[in-house]
Amino acid sequence: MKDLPVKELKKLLNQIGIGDNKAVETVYRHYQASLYAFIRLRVRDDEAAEEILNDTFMIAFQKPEQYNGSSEFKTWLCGIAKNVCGTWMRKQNSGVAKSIVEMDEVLFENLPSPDWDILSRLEAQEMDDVLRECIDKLPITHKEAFFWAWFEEEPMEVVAERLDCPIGTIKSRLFNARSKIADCVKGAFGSGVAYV
Amino acid sequence: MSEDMMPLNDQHRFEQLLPFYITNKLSLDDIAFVESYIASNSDAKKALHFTEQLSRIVRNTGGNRNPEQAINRLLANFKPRKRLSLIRRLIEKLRSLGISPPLAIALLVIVGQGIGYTAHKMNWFGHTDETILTESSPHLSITVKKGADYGAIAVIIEQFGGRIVHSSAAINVQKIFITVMDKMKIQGLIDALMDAGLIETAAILL
Repeated sequence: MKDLPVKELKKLLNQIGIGDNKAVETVYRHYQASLYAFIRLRVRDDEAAEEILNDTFMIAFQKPEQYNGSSEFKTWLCGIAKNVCGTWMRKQNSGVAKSIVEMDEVLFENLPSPDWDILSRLEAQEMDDVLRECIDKLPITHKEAFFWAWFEEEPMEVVAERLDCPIGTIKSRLFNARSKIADCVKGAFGSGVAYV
Repeated sequence: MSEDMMPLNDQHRFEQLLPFYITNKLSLDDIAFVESYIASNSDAKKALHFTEQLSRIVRNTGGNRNPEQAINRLLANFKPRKRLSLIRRLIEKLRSLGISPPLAIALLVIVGQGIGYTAHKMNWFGHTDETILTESSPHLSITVKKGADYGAIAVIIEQFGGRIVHSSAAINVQKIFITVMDKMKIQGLIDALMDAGLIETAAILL
């Protein structure tokens, strides 16, 4: 999702500052889907994601003058959302928000190729549910790489910039994440073996 | 050696590029490489299928939610942090139209003065020429000569300790009502204005 044009965004934020509901609605509609995905991939809970989305926009709209234009507006919103997610996760006090799969930043040269064919053995709906569950179990850093690469469809240089790490790390994360998901899918069906 | 500097075999290169191949974010060379690798390797097709399914799931995150409920809730609870004064809101409104704050203030002043002047000229408030609005009752009414210098009139009135409390215009006749602190100076003020050729008539009000 592209940012709103700078001039239009500035005008809308000024209008929000004086309580214009129409401007609130315009900005909300433009950014909500992407921001919801960003939040939902972090917190693994639909209702909590909805609450955090609401809180994020409320914070942003209460003080729109704090957006100084030095970054993209969606980056600013994601920054607020990250903080709200962090608060929510601390309140959950543990494992719910924590990733279940622990992963090191292993270079994928060291990993054998997974069994990518695992999905052919699942029904469509079953496959979606299992994949969703397995994605949820990944560490936040890996889900965030998925978000920028696939939801926002950014090129790898931009993904690396957004996650503040080298391109090589992004490549590794995306490969490791896919391998772990293949492993997770197999585990969900009891084979227990990730790589063949 | 960093990963970027390591020589990659075809499979590794393919795995690196695949996540960005499916979003069409690769160079033409890389696209050609990925497609040729897929064409020659059946496992690569499975990897492509797996990656496409995953990306579809990620892209569908939140696809089944209803944003209307969320927006209604947000609007119901949203209030701007502080209620700005009318002047401030007007300035903000002008700013939102791309007008800088100093210019916005200047515009407001000009518009305000314009409204006041028009109201006065058109007698919007229903005042007749005889209506006096101030707490001080005027002692003197003067009819200003056409083309007279109002600045000069004001200076002379000031010199005699007078104060303009009202003015009115009707059918091209400009009248000014004046209070004078020292009533003994009223005649002197009239004479000074007459001598300066600034007024047509003057009337002492009882």
